[in-house]
Parts: sequence; structure tokens; C-alpha cells
Amino acid sequence: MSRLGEALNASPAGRLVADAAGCSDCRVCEMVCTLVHEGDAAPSSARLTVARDPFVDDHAEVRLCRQCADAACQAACPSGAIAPDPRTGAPVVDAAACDGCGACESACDAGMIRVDPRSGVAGKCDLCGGDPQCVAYCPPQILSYRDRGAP
Amino acid sequence: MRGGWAGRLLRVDLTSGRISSAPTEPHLAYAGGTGLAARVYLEEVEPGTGPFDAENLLILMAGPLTGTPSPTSGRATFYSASPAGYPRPVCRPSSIGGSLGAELKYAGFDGVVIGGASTTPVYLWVGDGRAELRDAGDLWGRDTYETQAALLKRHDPRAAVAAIGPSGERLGRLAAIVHGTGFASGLSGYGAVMGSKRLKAIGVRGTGSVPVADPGRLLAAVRRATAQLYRPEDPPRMTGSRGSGRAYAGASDFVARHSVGLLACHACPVACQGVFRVPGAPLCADSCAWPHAMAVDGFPRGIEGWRATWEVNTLANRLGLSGYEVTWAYSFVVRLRDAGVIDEAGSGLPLHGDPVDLLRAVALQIAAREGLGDLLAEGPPRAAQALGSGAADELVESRGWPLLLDSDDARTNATLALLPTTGSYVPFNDGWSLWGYYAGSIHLPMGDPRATLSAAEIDGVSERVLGDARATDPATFDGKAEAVRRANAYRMLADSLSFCTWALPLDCGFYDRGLTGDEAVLAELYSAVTGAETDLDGLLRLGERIVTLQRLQGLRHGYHSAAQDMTALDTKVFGVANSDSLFPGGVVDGERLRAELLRYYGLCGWDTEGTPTPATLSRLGMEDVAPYLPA
Repeated sequence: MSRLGEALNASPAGRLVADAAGCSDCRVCEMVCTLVHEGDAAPSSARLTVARDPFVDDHAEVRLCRQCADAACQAACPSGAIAPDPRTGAPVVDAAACDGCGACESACDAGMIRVDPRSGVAGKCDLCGGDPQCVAYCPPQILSYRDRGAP
Repeated sequence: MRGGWAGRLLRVDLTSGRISSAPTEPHLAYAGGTGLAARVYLEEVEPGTGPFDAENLLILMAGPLTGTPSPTSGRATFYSASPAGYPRPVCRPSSIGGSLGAELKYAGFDGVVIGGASTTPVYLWVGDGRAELRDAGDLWGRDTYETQAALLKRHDPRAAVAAIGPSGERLGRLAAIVHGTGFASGLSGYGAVMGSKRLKAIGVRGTGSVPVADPGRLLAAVRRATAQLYRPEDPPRMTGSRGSGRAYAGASDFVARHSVGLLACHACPVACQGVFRVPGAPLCADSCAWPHAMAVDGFPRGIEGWRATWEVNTLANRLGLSGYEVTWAYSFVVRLRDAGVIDEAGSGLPLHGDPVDLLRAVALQIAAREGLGDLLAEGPPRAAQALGSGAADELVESRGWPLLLDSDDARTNATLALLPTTGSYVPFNDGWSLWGYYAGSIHLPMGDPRATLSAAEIDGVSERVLGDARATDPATFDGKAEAVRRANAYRMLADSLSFCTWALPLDCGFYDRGLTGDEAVLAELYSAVTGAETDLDGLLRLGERIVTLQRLQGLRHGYHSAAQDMTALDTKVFGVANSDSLFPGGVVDGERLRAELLRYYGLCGWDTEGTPTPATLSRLGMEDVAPYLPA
């Protein structure tokens, strides 16, 4: 690994954080995610998930990729299709190299990477290359982006 | 098939249990929601069909934008013959929020057309292109929260479920269809239509997608539209935000004390529902606790009043009742008591005890159809007729719906006087619009200076939007035909695309002191999603088409005629002043109202009987419905 690569790996990757208490369950983030990546509105393919039990929960739970250092998804990939994006440090999937085997899906204990049945390719949050659109469109602005290196 | 549409309508025949699907395509000229549902209903339901007849259809329809992030587009519409209509049923839309419409689109359907009647209780489960009817014997009799929770557990915790409660099962005409803790299709009695079909619930889960013609253009339009509707730094816009005098005092205290979060319908930036935790009461979300109860002398006001109203509203949601109408029935009961028409022994109600206990008892009695509640479940107008003894004198209604009398109403506002004569929908004000501004916009916090424009500002917007500064002057009927024609077109458009009717028309935004609004963004959203290029004029023509379609429905099913329209406004509001109003003078004059209604017919291209002319159908490209014109 290059010295630059080592330096990048040493600092935390960029990542999304949510103040879920302010989430209104409008699901705009999920739809914007797939509009940006797939070109249609398909929340089940979104790279983040909003979930709320209306009869129990005060507010929704927002599930986000933690953008792990030494990511299990990356380690599990037999094709070497997952590697950090130099812009953000986030592990991202090279769709051309992914064969859809699903090893990453089994490896992630947070369930934040999955093989999309439509494309046959693994998908996970790529932080839109450092300008995450879910953050840009969240109406109550409860999502935010922590730049790489931020604690 | 264009973007936005799922492309299929689910068809369910409860009599035979047969389930099929058909293309959405043939009737896209009427958009989705109300327009498409009304077109299907017009073609398939014979005049004379009653709300509880098996031949009556109950249609659930999403819009072409539902399931996309177009702001407020996550709604769907129930459409049927409403048993709440009086003296006769009215075919009307009753919109529902939450995520029901979006899940339906993701499951591959634009709508569900339900006919027939089952002999035993069933529920409809829809999941990703499939549907099945399942036994609901174990759910019958349970409340709407229990029913939904059971189906979420049985099928999928991420599903959307709409259910009826005991009131709908017993064919109460105030019965709602409830989804989540506080989303509902109310004010139409469609819970009773489901009950008559022995359909306990509709559950939907979809993992598919809604196609979008131009995603980049849509995202830009979403940003534009959101800027008109919402700013994150604003305080919550839920309960009490309409700010109409004494009944609303204490709303903000209640919100501050008990609100634990905000809840939005799918794709709505506004999030007008509050989620409340009140000690000893179950979690509940609520958009508007209605003011009928607190407007009654003796009912607690301030934070106590809000807590009580909220609690009974939660109870109504569980029982599958429209909370709005329960408070209406309560105010009617109090008036009947004070007029000596009813007593405790005969009604079975605690008429002289704690007012909150009485409100609670009214809800429970209506759901159970016990005591006076058996009559009240027929709706206050039918109850008044059955009671006699001057009971009808204690009621102010229009076609079976309450005329909400508060600080701004039909007594003192000519627009609100003309609206109920023209249509079958409840004449509320709308926010984000000219209509909302002269009374204080419904979605702004009470006392917010933006809620009220100066007279000069209102005149300016009125001149720009309606070409006549007088068109929004509450004190005169001048220009009201134009104003109401536009309001009706927008309402049908909103319920068809489907936007929230409280969000449109965006003709003078809150955050825009130039008061220009951004109506054109609606066409931008529609064009970006569907790929069918249109502009604002095109959308308003679409709205006009659906208003005309609804008119044909009303003529065909016998609830619209010039004579019925002329008498749709209760004469009890004629010439009556209102000291709570910004415009205290009584404005309604029967002759002037009649003249303006005829002018409205003329603007719409209808004859003096209110029948659309063949030339009008031709102008609007509605030749397909010409066979349904009255002979």
C-alpha cells in the first residue's frame, strides 16, 4: 500500500450521521438515494434505511453505513471489487468488478451492503463521492456528513 | 407507459373472491387519484347504487407522482359513494396520507378497485405484484391499532396497513379508514363501506420502484418546491397552527409539553403530525385536534382542552371513527341537551357531568351504536331528522358535512359561502395560498406575522392570480365565481396527482415576501416524473377536466342539480354576523349567492341547470364521457 494509502486508512473515513430524534419518517432520503444512483425511486434499493413502528416508536430509526476502517465487506470480497474511495475513504463497490456473489452481504453485521436483485451487483453507501445527496435533500436536515478525518 | 405510473390497477371482487389486474392506461387523461377513480366509477357503477350495496365500488388510487420525492405527493385517495352525504350519498374523494399510496406504487399498482361483498370477514394483502384475500375472523371486532399491529407482525413490519374499527363494522356513517396512528380517510364514512363489504383491512408492501422520466430535473424541482413549503428552522406546524381565536389557545403549550417528535406523510417536508406522549395514554400521532369541542361553552380550553381533545381523538382513531366528526357530534349533543331535545335517561349519555367524559362517551356510543349513539352513528343530519322536535335547528351542515363555524367561515366570507354550493367537498381553507392568507394560514404557528397579509398585499396577489383585486375580498360576492372555480380545479388537481390539498396552490409562498409563490414548479414536477411535458395552464385544464367529471358523476347519481346546489348552503348562516371574525359583517344574501353560482356555471361552461354542455366536453377533450351526460 502506498504511503498516501496508509495515511488515508489511518484517519476515519467520511461518514453519515443522523440525529434520528428529528426524523419525520418522510423517506425523502431513500428516494433521493436511488434517484441519484439508479435513476428511479426505489427505497428498497436505497443505501440507507428509515424504519419506524408507528405503534411503538417516538421517531424513526435511521440505519446508515458506518464506513468501517478494515471493512468486513471489503475483506470478504473475493473479487477485490470493494476498495476505499480516495476522496472520502469510504469503501465503495466497483460495479464492473462485482460478480454479485453476496459474500459482502453476509460479512456486514449492520446489513448495510446488499446485492440488489435488479442489478445483480452489490450496493452500499458511497457518500456520493463526498457530496451525499440524502444530506442535501433531507427536509428537517437531520442527516449530516462528517468529512474524513473528523472525529 | 410514461414515468410515474406503475401501469396496473388491481381488481378485487369480494363476492367471488376473484382477483385480477388491468392496465391503468386507458384513462390517464384524468391523471391518478380522484380523477382516475372517478372515471372508473362513472363507467362501472349504475345510478341508484347505494353506498352499502355490493355493486358499489370502493376505489383506492395513488397518483402518478406518488412514490417519488415530489413534496407532499405521498397521498392516495379513497373514492366511492359516501354514506355521509345527506340527503343522499355523494361520490367523493377522501384522501389518506402516510405511506399507503407509496407502498402500493412500489408493489406495482396505481390503484385498487374493490367491488362486491364478502360473506365473512376478510382482509386484502397486496405484496409486489400479487394480492390475496385472507380470513379476518380473528380481527373482526378489534380496533384499528390492534388490527394493524397484527398484520404488520404477520406479514411485514414495513408494510402499510389501513383498517376499520368497530364503527365501520357496524356501518356507522362517521367511520373512517385508519392507517398508522393518525392517518385516515375520514369525513366520508368509507370505513362503513369497507364494513358493508366485510373488508377489515388493506395491507400493502412493495419493494419495487417508481420510474422517473428525468431524475435530475425532478431533483431540481423537488428543491424548488420544498423551498416554498418548509424551512427547517421553523417551529412545528401541527395542532392549533391555524390560529382562530379562543378555541386554539393553549395549543402551543400542549405541543411543547407532550410532543416527542414530528411525523410526515411519505415525501412531505412539512411533517404536520405531532407524535405525543401523554402520561397514561398510548402513543399517538395527530395532525389536527379539531376545535368543535373547544368551541363549546363549558369544555375545557387551553392545555387541558387540548389534552382532552387529543385523547378522544386517539380513541376515535382506535374505534375507526373520524375524530373531526366525533367532536362535531359532541357539539350537536350539547346543543340538543341545551334545547331540551334529549335527556340523560333517553340518550344514555352523561349529559350533565364532566364535558370531557361526555365527549368520550359520545365516541364510544357511536362506535358501539348504543343509546343515542345508534342515531348519531347515522351522522348528525340523519339523527336530527329521526329525533324531530326541532333537532335540525341545532345543526349547521352542507350536504351532510359540518360547516365549521369559527373565526372565518361561510357567515362572513363569501368564498366559503359559495364553495359548498359548487361542490361535494368540505370547504376548508388551504395553506400556502391566497385562500389561506386572509384568515391566517393553517400551517403557520399561531400569531406568526406571516400568517396574515395586509389588505393591500392580499389585493395585489388577488389581482395577479385572479385578475381581480376583489376576488378574495371576503365581504363581497364580486369575483367569487373566478376564485372558487380556481380553488375547485386546484383541489381536484391536488387529489389526483396526488398532492396534499393543504400544500397547493403555492400561489404566494410563506417565505417569499414578493408574494409570487411558485405555481409553475407543480408542472415541473409532473413533467420531470412522467415525461409528459406540461405547464401550469395544462395542469389547471387537467383540474378543470376532473371538476367537470365530478359534475357529471353528481348529475348521474342525482346529488347535483341547480336546485340542490342552491340549497346546499344552510340558510342559518344567511345574514349572520360573527364577532370572532376579522370580517364581522354577515355577508350571505340568498339572491346574490344564487347569481354568483349561476355565474360559476357559466365560467365552467355549464348550462343554467349546471350541466356541462357538449361544447365544454369537446373543449376539454372529454368526448369519452359524453355518453354519461344527462338525457
